[in-house]
Amino acid sequence: MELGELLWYSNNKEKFDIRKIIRILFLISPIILLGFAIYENNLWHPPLNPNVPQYISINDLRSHPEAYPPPMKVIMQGLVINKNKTSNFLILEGGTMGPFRVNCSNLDISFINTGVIIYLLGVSYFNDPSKNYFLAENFEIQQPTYTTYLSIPGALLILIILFVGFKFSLKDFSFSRKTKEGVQDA
Amino acid sequence: MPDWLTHMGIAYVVIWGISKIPELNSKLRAYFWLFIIGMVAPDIERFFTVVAQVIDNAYFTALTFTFITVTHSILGVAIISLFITSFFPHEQQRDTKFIYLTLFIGGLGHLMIDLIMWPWPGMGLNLFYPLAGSEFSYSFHLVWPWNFTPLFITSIILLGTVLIDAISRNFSVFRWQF
Repeated sequence: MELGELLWYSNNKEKFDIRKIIRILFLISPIILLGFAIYENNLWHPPLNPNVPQYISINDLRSHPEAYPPPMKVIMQGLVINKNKTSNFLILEGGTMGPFRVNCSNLDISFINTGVIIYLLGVSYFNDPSKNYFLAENFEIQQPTYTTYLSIPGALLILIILFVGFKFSLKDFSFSRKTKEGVQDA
Repeated sequence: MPDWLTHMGIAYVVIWGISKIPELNSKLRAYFWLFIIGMVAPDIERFFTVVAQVIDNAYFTALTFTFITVTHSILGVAIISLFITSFFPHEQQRDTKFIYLTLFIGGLGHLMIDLIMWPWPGMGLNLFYPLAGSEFSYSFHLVWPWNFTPLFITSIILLGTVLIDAISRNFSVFRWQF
């Protein structure tokens, strides 16, 4: 280490350490997001505004049917495991709480096959023991999505941008500009 | 949600437009590529999606969906931009701020594009998470996530920019002139 560099470090030791600490804090910041995700994953809260359709999971609806009384609109996603053509009922996978019955009497479900994932918009009657079903008003079959596969060339382009457009240092796992020309412009 | 190519394509069109304005081009050129990175940054969760598909664990898959909700919010964009900024520790203090700002604006652009998804009222992005729930979901309610229309439109616009550059013999984003 040169004397000048050593002097710089000794004069700016505090500043240097703070930068390192801040960098570590920035690096671990996604833990906050992960914490929120874990918290949210185990959380259920009652709807605040019954006029807005509630997008919830099948489990939440089955666990708290009283919170979603008719005519509140509910949206959910589920896997079709059975179909009754005569009664126009769909049976969705309901997890530990048993099959999830969907009344599709107002809909044409002839082209819904078992094994597909559908989005349902309708009204829940699970708080009414005489009915105990979900009355569907609209549905949308989830199509195969290729976004993950189409994102692979995108991810490769990002890596090219990072490793060609910037200088990578393995020493501290950092990127820096190859030229300061543009920075001075800014 | 639209794939990374769509987001990158739209980011390219934006920086292409900026590159055609000399005053803005000279000031912002240093941040063009960072803007593209920022534009895909909220989809960093896609790595978790791939892992979830590989290990095929129900809890992890559910967690991934929640993680998507969290990352696709203004708070999520702010934190992911901090995370990416941490990989640029050798820039000047003022420049670090601009790097963060560019990534953040790119991230907000990402959210704007994702707002076209989910056609039903009650579905959308929780932009103001941790204010969670259908009441705080926002969307323009145009297409389902598996719809190819955004990619198709972006490709056409992108092709248009390439054609204009080819006719004018000036690829301004790359500074290629022939």
